[in-house]
Order: sequence, then C-alpha cells, then structure tokens
Amino acid sequence: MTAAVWGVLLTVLLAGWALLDGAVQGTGAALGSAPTGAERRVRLAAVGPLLLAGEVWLVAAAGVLVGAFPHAESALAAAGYPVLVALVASWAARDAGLWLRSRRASAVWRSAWDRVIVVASTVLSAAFGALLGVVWGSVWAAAGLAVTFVLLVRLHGAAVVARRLGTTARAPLWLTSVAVLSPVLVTVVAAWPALMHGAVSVSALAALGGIVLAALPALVVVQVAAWWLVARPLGRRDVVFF
Amino acid sequence: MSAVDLARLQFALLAATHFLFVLLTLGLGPVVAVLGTRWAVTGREVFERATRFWGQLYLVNYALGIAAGIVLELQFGMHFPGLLDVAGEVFGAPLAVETMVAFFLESTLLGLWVFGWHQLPRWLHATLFWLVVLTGYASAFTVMVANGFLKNPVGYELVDGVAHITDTAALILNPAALVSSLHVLGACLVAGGFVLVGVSASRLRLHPATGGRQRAGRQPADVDEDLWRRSMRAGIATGLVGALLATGAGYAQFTYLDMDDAVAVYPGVVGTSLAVMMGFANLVVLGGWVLALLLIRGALFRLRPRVRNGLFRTLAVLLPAPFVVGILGWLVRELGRQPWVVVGVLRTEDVVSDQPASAVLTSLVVLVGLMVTLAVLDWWVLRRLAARGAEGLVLGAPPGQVLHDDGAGPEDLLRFGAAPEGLRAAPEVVR
Ligand code: HEM
Repeated sequence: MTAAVWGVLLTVLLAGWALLDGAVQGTGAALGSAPTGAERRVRLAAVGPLLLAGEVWLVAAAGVLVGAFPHAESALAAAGYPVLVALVASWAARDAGLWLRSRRASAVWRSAWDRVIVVASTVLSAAFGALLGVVWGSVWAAAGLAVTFVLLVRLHGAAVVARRLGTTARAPLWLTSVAVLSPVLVTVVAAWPALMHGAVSVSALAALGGIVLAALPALVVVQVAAWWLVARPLGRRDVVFF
Repeated sequence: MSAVDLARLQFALLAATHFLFVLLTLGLGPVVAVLGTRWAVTGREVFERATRFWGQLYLVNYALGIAAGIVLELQFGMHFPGLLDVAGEVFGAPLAVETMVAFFLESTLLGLWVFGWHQLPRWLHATLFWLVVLTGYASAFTVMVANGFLKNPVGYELVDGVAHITDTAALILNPAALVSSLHVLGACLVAGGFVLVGVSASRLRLHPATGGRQRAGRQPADVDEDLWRRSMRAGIATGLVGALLATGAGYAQFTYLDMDDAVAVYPGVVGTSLAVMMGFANLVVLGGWVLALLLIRGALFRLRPRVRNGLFRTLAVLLPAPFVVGILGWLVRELGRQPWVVVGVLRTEDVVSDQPASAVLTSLVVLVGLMVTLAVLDWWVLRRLAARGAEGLVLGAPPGQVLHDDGAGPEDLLRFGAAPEGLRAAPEVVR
C-alpha cells in the first residue's frame, strides 16, 4: 500500500467517525431537549449501538497517523495542542457520561450526567471541527469549522433518532450524512500534499498494509453487523443500556 | 518542574489509570466468556445471571478503560514527538495494528454482544464474547510489542537517525514483548481472580444461607448462593493460574534483563517495588493453593461461621492488592528503563516536545484531574453495582422492563414490547 492509499484510508476513517459518532454527539448535545428521563433514555437507545462501533474509527485514524504519518501527527499535535487536549478530555467525559448516567436510579445523579453529556458532546464536535481548522492553518477556519460541525452533528443526530423512531423518511438522513462528511473531505483534500510529505518509508507502509488488508474482511463484517442493529426501527428486540 | 518532568509525570499517571482498568478487562474476560458459553449450552438460570452480573461489571470497567486509553494514545504526539520522529516507523507500526485491527474489532464485537443480546442466536452471542477476549488479548500484545521495543530494541536499523524495521519476526518475538506479555497476562488473571473472590465473599457473607451464624449446607440453598459459590470457585482458579503464570514469566524475564541497570537510576523505588511484587506473588500462590484445597467437597463454604466470616471479610478487603502491585510492576519496568526512552538509542529528555512547561502543566491538571475523577466515579459505581448483586441487572434485560422502571409512557412501552399497566388490565375487565 502506498502513501496515497494510506491517505485514502485515513480519510475514510475520519469520515466514518464523523458519520457514526457524529450521530451520538448530536443526540448527546440535544439530550436536554427531551423533557422526561424516559424520553432521554429512548433517544440514547436509538444511537446506543453506534457508540462502540463508531468511536473506534477515530482511534483507528489516530493509529494511521502514528503508524503511517508520524511526522504529520507530531506537526498536528504541536499546532493544535490545546484543541487536542479539549478533544480527548471531552471525549472521555462524554463516554463516562453515557456509560454511567443510567447506572443509578437517583434523579440527581442522572440529571448531573445528562448535563455532562450535553456539554461534553458539544465540546467534542467543536474540538473536532476546530482541529480540521488547525489543518487549514487559521484561527478563523478553526472557529468557523467548530461552529459548523456542532450544528451539522445536531441535525445528523436528530435525523438518526427520528429515523429509528419511524417519524421521518430516509431523505433527511442522507442529507445530514453528506453534510457531516463534507468538512472532513474538503480538509483532507486541502492538506493532501503536507500529509504525503509526512509519511514513513515505502517498505513500512507495505508491511503495515498487508496486515490491515488481511484483517479487512473481519473489520467490514463486524461493522456491517453493527449498522444492521441500527438500520431497523427501534423496538422490542433493542437493548436499552445507556 | 521542567516540561520534561511534567510530560513524564502526566504520562505515568494516565498510563497507571488506564492500566488499572486493563487489569480487570483482561482478567475478567475469560470468566465471562466461560459463563456465557455455559449459559448457551445448558440454558440454566444461574449461568444467565452470572453472565449478566459479571458482564455488566466488565462493561462499566471497560468503558472508562478505553476512554483512558484514548487520552493516552495522544500523549505521544503531544509530548514525545521525538519518539515518533526517530522511532515512529518501528514503534508506531504495532500501535497502528492495535488501533486499526485489534481494538477496532474488540470494541465493535463488544458492542454487538451488548446490543445484539435479544437478536442473535445464543451460540453466536457466546462466541462473540470469546472473540472479544481474543481481540482484547491481541490488543494488549501489540501494545507490549511497541513497549518491548523501547525496553529491548531489536529488528531495526538506524538510517540517518531514523529507525526502520528490518526484521518483523524479531520485533514480535522480542522477549521483552513475548515473555512480558505472559507476565502481564498473569497479573491480569490475578486481578480478575481477586475481584471475583472479593465480591463473591461479600455476597456470601450477606446471604441468609451462608452468612450470619448458620453453618451452610453442602449444596447451595438457592440460585443466588449457587451463583456466588460458583463465582468464588472461578475466582480462586483464575487467581491461582494467574499467580503461577506471573511467577514463571516473572523469573523468566531475568534471562534477558539486566537488573543492575534497572535499579541504577531509581534504586529505592525500583528495588522496593520489585521486592514487593515478588513477595506478593509468593503469598498469592500459597493462599491460592490453600483456598483451592478448601474447595474440595465445598469445605470453604462450610467452615465454622466465625472462621468463615473472618476469612470472607479478609478476602473482600484484599481486593485492591493486585492493582497496587500491578502499578508497582510498571514502575519497575518504566523507571528501570531510564534515562532511555529507547534503551541505548534515544534518551527521554531528547524526545520531549517544545511546549512550554506551563502548557504541559495545564494539560496535566486538565487531563489527569478529569481522568482520575472519572475513574473514581467509575469505581464507586462498580462497587455499588457489585453490592446490588444479581438483582435489577440492566445488561440483557428486556427493553420494556428497563423503560418501565424509568417511568416511560404507554406509547414507549408498547414500542418496546411491554404492556402498559392500563392495557394489561383491560382484557380482565372484559372477561
Ligand atoms: C502476582 C504477582 C505479580 C504481579 C501482579 C506483577 C505485575 C507486573 C507488571 C504489571 C509489570 C509491568 C509489565 C511487565 O514488564 O511485564 C511487571 C514487571 C516486572 N515484574 Fe512482575 N508481577 C508479579 C510477580 C512478579 C514476580 C514473581 C517476579 C519475579 C521475579 C516479577 C518480576 C518482574 C520484573 C523483573 C518486571 C520488570 C520487567 C521489565 O523491566 O521489563 N514479577 N510486573
């Protein structure tokens, strides 16, 4: 696998994360708009299967950066240091919120975690948008993309939940999906030359590529199975865990 | 403190937090897999309850473990860019395999296990968890390959100051990766064993048939007692196997390690930690055999009430011990490597980023403060979940029941297959 193929893989991973985890972020950020505890729980159940299957995409993207583009990774970390701190901190807080909120029945406990989920989900999307902006190299781009990404995932999360509750057709979901993907795609295209410059040697890329290609069928099968769990209307065979 | 010290401290604290979760994930995993399989094969209630109880603890522990792991993953780029610039190709490759293959599969499979509970055939569901365990172990091994390279760099050459892989097999078969992985696996099984034994001991002490002043019967009195007796047995077996593995692989590490070098820079901490680790392993092996012998004909559960209560209380109190020892083990390994980040190749002080100390301190306070807070909350929740026993488990519960407990309205209850109170009453009125 050449550096270009790795670049495409990185793009797919980032786009996949925006699409899958974006739905969880959007739902989390809008959690406060559900009036009762039970309704919040239904919304979380709608996107529940996407959490574990979605966040692995950004972890894998970080792995591609470390393994195939370590120089790009260290450059990005230097330029975007505070944004990265915000990204990982809000990511951890959002996850803790989702896993812990429903583990106790106390209303105080739950509403405190609901607040954490709302704030952390919003900061997470903003930080990701800002990180894309860091790649563009301007503070304005960072601020603009942060706001854009927050708004887009809100729409996307709402579309996924509505679709699972059977209250909309498929078209809005297609629209929001394309919308959350676009900032990622445009940014990668713009950063392409710098990315290729930061790649490791050709032989290392090839060796790594062999392993990833060998595992690809398994990766695809488990992901498709996870999507299958959310592709149907929410119902009695679903799991309410979060 | 300088930026270098702060970056190292930050990494050490985050790595320790992460590792505490890893110990339990890897130690409890095989036991949940066995319980799930026995449930799939026999269909017995005790195995269903056991799978759901231990599975739920596994999940709540896993969740924070990956959050901490994610924070850790970004530390290299943020604070040790020199490591990536020089050794990125060698050190980064196993980490890339970890994130792209092993962890990716592990997490997705675990999601399928949780959320496919009511949809997948039982045999497939049980198989999924075995795959979670397998990919989890693969994930830990790839991290040890990366870490082993730092300790004992092999299979590479330096060209113009950049390391390139020349021998993949040597990199993977590196004793600092292979033997140390077995050592860590042993440590994890010990931790899993202590949690199984400690929690079961607490539950049994509170159980009407085994707790209090009575002498327990040969056979468990009910499903609940059966569950905790079985968990206790599983814990003793897991802990003993783990302690034997940790000891065997622990001594095997001396065949390639230079312990004089290891204690050179931090003699006090490294020397003491090593001594504690070795002493602890002896005690666990000894205690493990005693407990295993007491399992014959269920003698452990039928001890005289005072002896039994004292013993069970002690076992519960000892629960955190292997976690403390696991951290000491890492101190031996990581401090023992200093002043090198890659032994003989690269010094720690030469790879640190040029972020000012104030920025590193800020991120230390934010990230470590956050992760420690979340970790403590998580352990508190785990404790409460353990104390609640096998009642009111959410994992694997019918969705309608969970939402009913949450006070959902009739529309939601109908959607999730639970008959709302009013509707259920209706036919009787007609009749
Ligand atoms: C149940 C008891 C034990 C636990 C929980 C434990 C845990 C650990 C852990 C987590 C590590 C760091 C990872 C690694 O290097 O593998 C470690 C390192 C180490 N352990 Fe143990 N260990 C135990 C028993 C022993 C025993 C009996 C020995 C025998 C001498 C031993 C010798 C070592 C050494 C030498 C290291 C440092 C390895 C290096 O620097 O590469 N441990 N231990």
